[in-house]
Amino acid sequence: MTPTQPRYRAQRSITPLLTVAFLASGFISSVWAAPTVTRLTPPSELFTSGQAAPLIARFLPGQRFDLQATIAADDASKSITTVQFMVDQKPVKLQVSLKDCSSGCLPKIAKNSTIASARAYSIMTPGVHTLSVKAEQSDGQSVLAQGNFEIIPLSVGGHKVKNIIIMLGDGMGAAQRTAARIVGGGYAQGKVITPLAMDTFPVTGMVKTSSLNSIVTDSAPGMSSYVSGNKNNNNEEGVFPDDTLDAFDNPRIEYLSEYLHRTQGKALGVVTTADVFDATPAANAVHTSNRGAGTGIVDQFLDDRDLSGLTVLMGGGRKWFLPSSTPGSARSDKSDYAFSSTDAHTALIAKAWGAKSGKLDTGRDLIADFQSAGFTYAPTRSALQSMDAAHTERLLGLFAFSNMNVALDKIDGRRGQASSLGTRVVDDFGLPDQPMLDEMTDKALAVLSSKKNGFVLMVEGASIDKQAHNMDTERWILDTMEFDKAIARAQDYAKKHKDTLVIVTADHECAGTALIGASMVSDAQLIELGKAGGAANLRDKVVGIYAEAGFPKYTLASDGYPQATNIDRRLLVGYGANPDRNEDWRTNDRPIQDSQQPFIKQAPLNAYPANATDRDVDGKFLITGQVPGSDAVHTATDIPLSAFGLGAWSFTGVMDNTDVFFKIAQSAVGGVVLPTGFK
Amino acid sequence: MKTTILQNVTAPLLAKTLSWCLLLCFNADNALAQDIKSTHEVPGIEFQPIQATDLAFQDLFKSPIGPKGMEFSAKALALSGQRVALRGYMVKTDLAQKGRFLLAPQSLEVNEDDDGPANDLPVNTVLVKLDPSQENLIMVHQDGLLRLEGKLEIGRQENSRGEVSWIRLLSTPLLVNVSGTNTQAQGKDI
Repeated sequence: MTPTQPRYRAQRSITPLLTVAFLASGFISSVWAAPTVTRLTPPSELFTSGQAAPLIARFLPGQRFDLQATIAADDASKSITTVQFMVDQKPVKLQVSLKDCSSGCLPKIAKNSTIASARAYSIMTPGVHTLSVKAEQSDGQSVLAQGNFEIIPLSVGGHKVKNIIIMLGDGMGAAQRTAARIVGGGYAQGKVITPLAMDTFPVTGMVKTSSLNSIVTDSAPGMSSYVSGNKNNNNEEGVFPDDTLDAFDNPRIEYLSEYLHRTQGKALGVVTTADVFDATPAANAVHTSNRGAGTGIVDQFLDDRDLSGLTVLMGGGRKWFLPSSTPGSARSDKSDYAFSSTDAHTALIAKAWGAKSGKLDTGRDLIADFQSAGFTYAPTRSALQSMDAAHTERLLGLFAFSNMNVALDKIDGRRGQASSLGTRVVDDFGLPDQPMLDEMTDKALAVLSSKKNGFVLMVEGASIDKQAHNMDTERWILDTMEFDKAIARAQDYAKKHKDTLVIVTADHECAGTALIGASMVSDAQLIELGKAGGAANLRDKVVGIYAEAGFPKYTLASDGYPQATNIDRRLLVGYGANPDRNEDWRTNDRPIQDSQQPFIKQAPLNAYPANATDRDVDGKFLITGQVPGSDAVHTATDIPLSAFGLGAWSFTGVMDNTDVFFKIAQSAVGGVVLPTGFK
Repeated sequence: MKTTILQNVTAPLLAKTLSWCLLLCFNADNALAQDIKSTHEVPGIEFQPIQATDLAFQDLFKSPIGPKGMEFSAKALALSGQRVALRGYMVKTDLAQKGRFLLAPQSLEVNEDDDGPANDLPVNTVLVKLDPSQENLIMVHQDGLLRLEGKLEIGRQENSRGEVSWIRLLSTPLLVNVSGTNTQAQGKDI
């Protein structure tokens, strides 16, 4: 059955009541054409395949989520007139909006389809519940379809976790962790000299990272699964998929931050080295099916702060906050949203959730609006450092126009190291004064620690992933080291505040990264071998495997980062989820250096591949990739999760990414209890 | 194979030539460009010397950038509408667009497919618009430092995808490879 086929076809029934009686099997059977339910949300296998398991959608008692169904009338001349949702065969007493698909729906959806929504539903009773929808079309024929969802019971008892810190290393698989340990900690006779902070966490488990629609997730559903308890489609965050074009009208799922703010008054902090609109930060407070809708995403951060408890927001992304009249602004109507006040389909989102309706407002000065809402604004590291956190109620830090510069470039900037063109990378960006992630984490914790009801803080090491996509080895290694320094700050906080839980995890692995060994030669020899070029030199004479790899030794400077990354006998990294790439193993710490030998001399020009790799061309060592395109990709490989502090012991075993949400909630809402299997 | 410079040519001739043009390339370094000019062969076409003012990326805005938005430099404002020469790197993107590409002060790759539209572009990234006669061609990615000439255009502009640019270089017609054997750039669209 293809996804576009209707799953349930209730056909003409002379006795509609009998149709209801057939529902227990999950299937409808009768004789004639009738309306069809093509989508029932929350998603379930019961609706999709008729199988009662696995349970797809799971929620906490009282956690809010939207119910939605797409129903097609059986003929272009007919339309859907009434829709009723039922849970466990009892009518849901919520207003139901009907949107007709004559416009605004996906091209594959029939124009006479109707999308019915009941917003902000919740139920306290634990267990598996059936969700039914009954729809009637204009000629009186009706359809019934059924799905299911589960409410996860919370055990009561034990001490409750007050503060939750989620350290999210984007794209940080086991290899990324290991590489940071080798470079940052060093090895002696097989033992680590200085472990990573995350290596000292007492509990580690393994996480399955698939999204709702793929074994390979992207960062939006990756983060969303941890803080909503549910699988989302790729590119979507805090929502289930729907059939409309509008990126902000999807069925919502209440986030951890929203649930804990509503029920316990907890505050939310979001800290990232990426643009704050990026998928991982946004998937803590913003509900959209388009992770790219920057203007609307940053607007919703502020506008719905009463839902999420947003108190700290730090990262890059200033371009979305500037009015369109200001150079550097990227605000546009196309990436914004505005709910209708008259069309119930979106008006109900505002009404039922207490959400703001949004506005198409490219001219909005969002920094000023944050300041009006009580946020202190820090545009630089200096401003951040000089801020008195004890007297800072809320904090907005925007240190770059898009993603912040990566650790390697920020450190080069602080050390005053210029590129071959005579400028520092951070100067090229016009932003020489950006903080490191541990400095941001410290300040976030200082502001949040004054919140009497506790907090949820998500700190993202964003460019571990972004640089792994680029197969820029040293850049993601240093970003993993930067991330670990932030983890150490969170760990210190949890040591002092015993009711704090710290989780270190990743949304997915990136690039199929593998530590294949180490160079057998000095850096000077490596340069010479690179000039000679080709696999015979750069592979056969360089790549030391097994015992030949030994233990690469990096020397750290007083700032905690390697004095140099182009060392003798360096760590070598391969990529299994790679496109074609040239490799000379040396740090890409400068813009392309071969300006004296531009392409034009490389005639014939028609030998120039359309997807030529940018770097290391002179080495003539092309590694043929296994994936199309020019970027290494995420993989479906499980990732490690480590936990520290109160409630840490429940994070062991092999778990689904959505399980993490329920473990956190158990600790924060029910109290810390021994995990299943420990009793 | 013959590499030919097409500059200041008349539109009809260019259109005819472009029917074979399957790969675009750049006028690279100053010194190199000189080399190329000595080898050009376009029968019947005269080259006119062009006076362009060199403009560095670092000179486009006041730097370091202040606490909020950016401010154009006096030099950039004075050169708006004038012929300038910029040296920079073509940004490598997943989604090539017809008739345009991005030029940045350093070598960069933007992973639109994998990361969504979060990017690492410096704010002084310049949108290069190809000459109208080449607007249907897709620029194949080029490595290394490039030198481009064209008219500097300053001010906010939003495309159909909602992407905003603040600085544009309306490029002069670019070097064209007239080899008939290369098909890499043909038929590629987004």
